[in-house]
Amino acid sequence: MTRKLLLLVCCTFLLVGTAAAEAIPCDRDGNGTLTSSELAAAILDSLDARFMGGTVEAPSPVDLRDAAFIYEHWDGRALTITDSSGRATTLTRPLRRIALFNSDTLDMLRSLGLEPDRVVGVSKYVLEDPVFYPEYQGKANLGSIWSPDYEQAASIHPDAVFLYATLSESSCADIEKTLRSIDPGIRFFRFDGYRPATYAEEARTLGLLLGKEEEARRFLSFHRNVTGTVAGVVDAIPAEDRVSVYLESWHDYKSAGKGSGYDEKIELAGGRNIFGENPVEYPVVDPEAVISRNPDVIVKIVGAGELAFGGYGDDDRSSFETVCRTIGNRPVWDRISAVRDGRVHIIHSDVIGGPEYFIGTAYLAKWFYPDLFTDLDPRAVHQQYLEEFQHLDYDLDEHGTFVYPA
Amino acid sequence: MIFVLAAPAAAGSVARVIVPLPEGSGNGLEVTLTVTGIPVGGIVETIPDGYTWVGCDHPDDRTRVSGQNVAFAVIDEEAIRYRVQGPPEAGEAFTGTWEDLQTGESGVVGSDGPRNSGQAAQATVPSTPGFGYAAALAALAMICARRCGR
Amino acid sequence: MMTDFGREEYARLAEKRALFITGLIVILIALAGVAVTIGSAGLSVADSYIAILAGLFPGAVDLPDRMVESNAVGIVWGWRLHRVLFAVAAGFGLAIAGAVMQGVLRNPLASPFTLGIASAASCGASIAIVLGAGLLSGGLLVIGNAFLFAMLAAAAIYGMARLRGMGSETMILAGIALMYLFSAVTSLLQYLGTADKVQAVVFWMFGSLDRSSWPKLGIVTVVLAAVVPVLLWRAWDLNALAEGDETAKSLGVPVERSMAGFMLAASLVTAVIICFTGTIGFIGLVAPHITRMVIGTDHRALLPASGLVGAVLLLGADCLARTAIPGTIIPVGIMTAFLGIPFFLYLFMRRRDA
Repeated sequence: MTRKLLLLVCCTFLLVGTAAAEAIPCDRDGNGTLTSSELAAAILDSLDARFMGGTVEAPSPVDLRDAAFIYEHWDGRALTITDSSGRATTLTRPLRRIALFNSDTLDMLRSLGLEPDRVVGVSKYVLEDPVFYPEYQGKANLGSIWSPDYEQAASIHPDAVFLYATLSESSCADIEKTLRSIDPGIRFFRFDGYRPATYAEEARTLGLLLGKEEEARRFLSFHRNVTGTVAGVVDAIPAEDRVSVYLESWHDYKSAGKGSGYDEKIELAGGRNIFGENPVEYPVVDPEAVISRNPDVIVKIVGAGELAFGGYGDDDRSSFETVCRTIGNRPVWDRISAVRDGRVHIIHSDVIGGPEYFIGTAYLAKWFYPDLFTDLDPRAVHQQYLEEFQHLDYDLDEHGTFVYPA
Repeated sequence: MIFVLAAPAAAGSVARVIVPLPEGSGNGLEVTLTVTGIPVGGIVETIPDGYTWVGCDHPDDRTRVSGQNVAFAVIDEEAIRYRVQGPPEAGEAFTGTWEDLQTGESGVVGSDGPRNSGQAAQATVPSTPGFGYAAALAALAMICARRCGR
Repeated sequence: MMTDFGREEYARLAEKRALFITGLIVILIALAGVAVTIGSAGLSVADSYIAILAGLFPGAVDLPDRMVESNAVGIVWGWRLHRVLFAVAAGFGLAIAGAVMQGVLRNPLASPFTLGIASAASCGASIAIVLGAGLLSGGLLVIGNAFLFAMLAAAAIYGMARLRGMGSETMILAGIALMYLFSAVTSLLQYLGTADKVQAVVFWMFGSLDRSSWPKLGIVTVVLAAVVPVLLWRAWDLNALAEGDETAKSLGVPVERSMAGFMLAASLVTAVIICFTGTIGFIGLVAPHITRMVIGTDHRALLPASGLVGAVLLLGADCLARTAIPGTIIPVGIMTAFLGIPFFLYLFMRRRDA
């Protein structure tokens, strides 16, 4: 008999719980808007029950906290968010347990001042980088997009899972489907966090989602400052006066073609990619073609593949120098203007790809047009990004190698 | 190389100032609570024995009196004033606690900062060891074997 | 014309077969019982079983708090259980397909993969992943393409064999040609693709049970349930085919039609499995061999027994894959590839002795 009663009670709680999860907490009249008097009543009930010996039925601390958040940030109403894949989700509670498969979005959330204890699970790449992500080292390991650990993801009870919007969409769809079947209560959000075209919009949306609108405004004005300065100068340069650029990734002779991310960044920095019409996204090009097109500037990206050095964990600049010299020593390449004029630059993928792309773009702009950007100091921008927005105590003068020559 | 997370600043606090009421309004004190950095929160003040509650300028639906305790719901305000009846000396006997409902911080009214920096969300997470390069190498070896084998 | 001695031999053999099959079933059930308790969520053995019961009889089981908190029911029913059952079904299907192909092609090294079916499926998956082009859309894009291309390869082999005569040599040659063709296309796509797409293709080709789900398990089970009984019913024809085309014809087996039918059945079973899992190799090769070593080559017993061995192998490999490196799940296709090593070493050693 007691067992059946217990079951009934459990079921009721389950039902009530589910029902409550859909309504705004502390919304007494259930009209979907939390007014200040409803919030005040809830606060008073809670204080009464806890400190004044009252016998009123008080809202739970979690409900009260959520109600305070919703009143302050969402105007007392449920929030409908549209993520980067165009999907709209309505939330009646703030997100308190966030699991991220996307480390670029994690960076963006950190720029918006997200408290680390609201994050409960991260991808394995985050855990493998204690230099850049010291505060997330104890979080659950979710694996990666291509090899996710569903059991870990389920056992941390996230209320939201963040995935990529345009990267490996089939893998992300699989993850969403499987996790949903394990725990139907999880909400899924798709944000990229690395694409220049959607960066600002995503930061704004995430700020709204997490109740960090003020921080989002501050971060975006910093971001706009950099990108606006570059764009302002670059947009005024006519097409025929643009500097021609040859960009090479960490694989020898692998360049960037039409529609690739690097091509976009060269464009943003005011350069003209000599392989910009190539229909293949990352074509392997003929060295002779580079010589014949005679670029004004050469940009070489390191940080992965055989050139996996540099970045935040590496302080040694000599490997960058070696790469620079090797390019100059390629047969007949000393005829190329870029090599002749000493305009061969090395940049690390951490600052040209991902959420720090605007720092890399600033470096590119400065290299392409040093006279037009005398006031632009990409390194200061980078330092400010790390200190003020990523909350890292990292001194670029002492540590890390990202560009060469400086 | 030490990379320490610089903690964000911004903590709340509530200060109390007690002023004796002018003679004409009877024997009483006016207490002013100044709230800093707490957009949504709650304060519970305990009025010492010998004093009785008179009133306040805080809205009724945000104030609740019960015995010697009075609770205030703080929503986007910076000052709360209330009056009590009683001898003008024992100003130090007033005690109170405050809570910031957004950050979970709490503290004592009149001290400088939060005593309790707020509970972390229930994130009890097992820390899994990183799996190292072994699997990555094995995977790469497998790719090579497959490509060559086919 | 069976002498008493022959009758005894036969009885012994039949007993051996029965024992073997029963033993396999027992091992399979035990292994499944263990497999359901394995996983990185740290559920205790008891919790896993209670979760199974709770899912089967919702409302009848009183869940302790710790199980509600760890969402044991969700994990077991939403993730572990269908994966375990899928491993059993996939292993069963791949092994039987392998046994059939080895019988039809009279080549003990034949497997669904020797005929280019796996390469074709990989090619289809690459087209879906890299180019985003395919027959079905959304979540079914990769699956649809993989299945379509695998069946295309089977059809191509059949077509080429019809042209040149349905011999085992022609089929194998055609299969190898197709394998090179599809591998070349896959390589081209990997070259053209961005890093993340290549990563996705490579991981797909490893072969893994991560993508299993109840509906997919249902589809595979339905196909198996439709095809396997037919194969078992016609297993005697395989015995005849194994003796050679002439012998088979003289025994009244319609050779060409039989070969085509068997190849179609084996390809279908393989295609429907690997379109969901990616290319899991060696089960179709190793399982029939092991079975043949124990109970001989009578396909009436060889087919079901190979299936069971395949199920045990794949489920065992998956358990290993989930526990070998703590905190990560190795794709099961990599595990089964490692299985191939001791097997081929053993074959190599045996060759020496003979």
